[in-house]
Amino acid sequence: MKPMFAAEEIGKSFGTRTVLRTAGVWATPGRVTVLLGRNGAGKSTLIKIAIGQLRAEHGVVIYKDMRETRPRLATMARAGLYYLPERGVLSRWFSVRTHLRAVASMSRTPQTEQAVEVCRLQEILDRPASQLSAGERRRAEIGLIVARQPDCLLADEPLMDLSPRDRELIAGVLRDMARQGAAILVAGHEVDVLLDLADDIVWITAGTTHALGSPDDARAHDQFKREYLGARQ
Amino acid sequence: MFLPGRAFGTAMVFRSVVLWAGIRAASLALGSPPTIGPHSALVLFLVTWLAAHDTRILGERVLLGNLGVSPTVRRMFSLLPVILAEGTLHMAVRQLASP
Repeated sequence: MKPMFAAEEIGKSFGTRTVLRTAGVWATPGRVTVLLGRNGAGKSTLIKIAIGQLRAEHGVVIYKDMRETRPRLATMARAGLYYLPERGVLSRWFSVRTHLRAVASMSRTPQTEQAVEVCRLQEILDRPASQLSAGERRRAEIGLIVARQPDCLLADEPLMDLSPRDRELIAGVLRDMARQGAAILVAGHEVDVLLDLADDIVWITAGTTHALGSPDDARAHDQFKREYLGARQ
Repeated sequence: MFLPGRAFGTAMVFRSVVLWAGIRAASLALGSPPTIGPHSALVLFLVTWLAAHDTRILGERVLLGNLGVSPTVRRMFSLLPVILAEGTLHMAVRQLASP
């Protein structure tokens, strides 16, 4: 199936350090694509370029019928894209309920009640984000995604620093969204969970991305095993 | 055009008005006249710059982007209340000064 979202031939340097040479990543409807790579390999940089937070030196971002060298999150968000950054998306000044209301107003079929139930938000609904623990914040952020029901989700490290139970919950939500037809791209390090979650694996190393195929194909890839998975597999 | 919604929009307007009040109070204390002139442009510039670098607003940039609010609309929410406040102050001073 054709990807709904793609960043192609992306290049980016910071000063004399080249982070991305010709990197690309995509998200296909009904599938979860997982972007793996070491710290500093350029995963977050690639996603930030894809949503317009950073400017690439070359490359193009395609989302639905848009084709942009300088994409804008707001424009893509109006067309159904949602971005979950590594450092979170909640405003510390507002309650979870206010966030849910705002995000649900973007959706034609908001799923606010489902979000509260699935992400166990009832007890924290009226608390400002500044009073939430890391796990509660992440659950609330995933709740916003459930309420929004985006066509395409780009999630940067959504499982970072979470308990196994919360990881499971979030992985389940992402899988359900893909089953309902959303295009999901997830970057992260939690190999065990992510390999179970993924339909397609993209590995980023030395400024370039490699499409490794299914998780089984990735596990069988010699260089990926040697340089990324290490002795664990 | 996508607006940031009532809660977020009100907060943005409130923050820029508070910034304006602080900067205006400081400029009046320094002897700047409360009428429209070069100092008004400076106040507008300062408020816009501070609003753009306000960590609260910076922290909400991605959230507002996800809500479809463009950077231009975000800036308008910081600038328009200040222009209105400057204009109101100017008119109030003129009215008080008129015989």
